[in-house]
Amino acid sequence: MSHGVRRVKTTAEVQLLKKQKEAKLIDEYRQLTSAVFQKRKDLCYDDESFQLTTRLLRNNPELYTVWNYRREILLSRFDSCSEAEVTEACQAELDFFMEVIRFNPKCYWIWNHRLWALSTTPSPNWDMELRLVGKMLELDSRNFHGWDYRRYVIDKICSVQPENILAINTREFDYTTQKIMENFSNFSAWHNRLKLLEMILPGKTLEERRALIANEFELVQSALFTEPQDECGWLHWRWLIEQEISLTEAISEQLATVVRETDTIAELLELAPDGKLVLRNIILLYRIKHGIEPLNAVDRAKVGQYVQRLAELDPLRVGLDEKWW
Amino acid sequence: MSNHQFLRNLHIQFIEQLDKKQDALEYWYSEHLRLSGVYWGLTALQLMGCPDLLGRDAVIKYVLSCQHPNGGFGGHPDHDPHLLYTLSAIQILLMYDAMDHINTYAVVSFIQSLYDKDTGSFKGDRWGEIDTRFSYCAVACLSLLQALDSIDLPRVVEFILACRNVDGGFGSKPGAESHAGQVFCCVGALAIVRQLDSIDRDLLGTWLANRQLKNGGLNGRPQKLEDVCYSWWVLSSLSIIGRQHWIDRAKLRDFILSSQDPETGGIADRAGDVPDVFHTLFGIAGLSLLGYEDLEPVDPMYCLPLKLTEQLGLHSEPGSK
Ligand SMILES: [Zn+2]
Repeated sequence: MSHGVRRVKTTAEVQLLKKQKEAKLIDEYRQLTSAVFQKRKDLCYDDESFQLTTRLLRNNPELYTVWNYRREILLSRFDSCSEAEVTEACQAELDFFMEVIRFNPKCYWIWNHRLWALSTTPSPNWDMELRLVGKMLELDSRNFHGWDYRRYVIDKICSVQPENILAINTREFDYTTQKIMENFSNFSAWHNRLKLLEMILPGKTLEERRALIANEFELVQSALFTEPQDECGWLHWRWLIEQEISLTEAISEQLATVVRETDTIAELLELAPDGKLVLRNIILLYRIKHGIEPLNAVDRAKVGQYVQRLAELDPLRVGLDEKWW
Repeated sequence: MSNHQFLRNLHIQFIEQLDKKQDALEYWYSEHLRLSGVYWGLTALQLMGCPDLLGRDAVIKYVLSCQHPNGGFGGHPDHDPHLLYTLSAIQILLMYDAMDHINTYAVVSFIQSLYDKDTGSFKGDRWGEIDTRFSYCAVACLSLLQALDSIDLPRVVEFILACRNVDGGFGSKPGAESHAGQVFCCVGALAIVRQLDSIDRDLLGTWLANRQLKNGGLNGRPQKLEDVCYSWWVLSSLSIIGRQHWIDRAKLRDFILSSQDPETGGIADRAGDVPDVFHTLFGIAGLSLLGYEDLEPVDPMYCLPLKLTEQLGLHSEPGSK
């Protein structure tokens, strides 16, 4: 499975040199691998075996069996270790994670190893973990391992401080604001924001909910007007409309939401007349409106125009658009 | 019209020669997943109509050498058992009609041992990683072994649905963002247990259709690059929910064909990159599902030849609901 490795044309000479170099690396790698697997077969849990796993995993962290072996070695020692010694050994594993993750940020087995070390150490420091994952997300703000890990850490923090859950979630919410302001196209941040809103909203009064949603509309509007061709903002916007509509049973109020948004998006359409997502979502608004109260002839004519325009602009998804109206 | 041709013969050669590339470091670096590599290669060959090129007896012997006493399979002899490789093993044995070589009860009990009854999820192995990928592996394996009655299906479905997001897609665990690979695993698993009615096909279909980019390729998440393997995860999911026509199929075909290596054969993640057997299978499976190049039809739920899943009585047509 290789991703993003470009093909390069080389001369026969360069090719030969490369092969020679590779032959040496292969030889070393195979020797190291067979040494480690032999040690494991011999149920060898000594220091030398442990250090061999370090060398091998630096070389190839995808070797999941070697991570397993490494943990078996550690566990075989922990029975006779003091708490301080276990803590120290687990800290060393966390440091080893930092060393290898840098070159392989998407390797599942490395992430698993960190979780194991934290579940094994007597007193994990979750606040430190949160700072660490914050740093990692600065390097790659879309790494889903990083975001998954962040949610895991927050879960842990919440479980030790159940009285602070609301405050913790609010802080996380602010973190997503910061990430989104840095880059409106950060889908991962939008996703996490929505998950947090789902947790925060039910605990609020109706008035607070209205205020929060109004605030969200403001944020999402700046995103849409900056990046009208970006799905992230639209998904959030669509969800907000559903939320606002669900706050009231009065048809006039529900319609007011739709009309207000239709005006806004029509304005955006003037600025971005070729925006496929703008068109698709303004059509969606009419669908929502139709669900509340059947559309009149003027509205119907408008939708017809939008659908036609969209079919011209986005032939890729023409099958999808037929379905839309 | 496409200016690329499907390089069938070169791809066949590419796969045949995979085991002869021992002078390449990558050959050794990928040893831990060789069993899956065999599944990718064999399935690609079967879809191209050459079912026997790898040497049936040798492959069966190799597969058996990857099995552990607990019933699970590792990615290579001496590598630990894991659900990922257990599925590959079962798929290979079925393609060779060689299930009588193994004790299927042992495999079923290995899978059962990884079931977490508190959440309805599956661990990948005894170390406990939880992910909807493993729910798929478990459900697909059990279905292929005709043993779906050995687990609490409603709980398994409940967990998968807990991983669904408001965009209609699915993540790796509850709370995780939607990702095309994960969508395939969840939709595939739901389809296998005939529970597709619990999802909103239009909503999910829209998210999936939006994965197609200008050059016809599909990406795995918004704002990411197109990739042949994601093209398969998205396309197969669209097929399963009966929404394949929501994307431009001819453009996707062009994209896959442009990702072929015209010299060595094989398909890469995208044009100009180094090909590998993983993308070769998913490129070919994609073309098959699109109905191009006169390939054997593929079953989108299992990524196996349709002939086989029909024979096993496991294939189901997409509903359009
Ligand atoms: Zn790929």
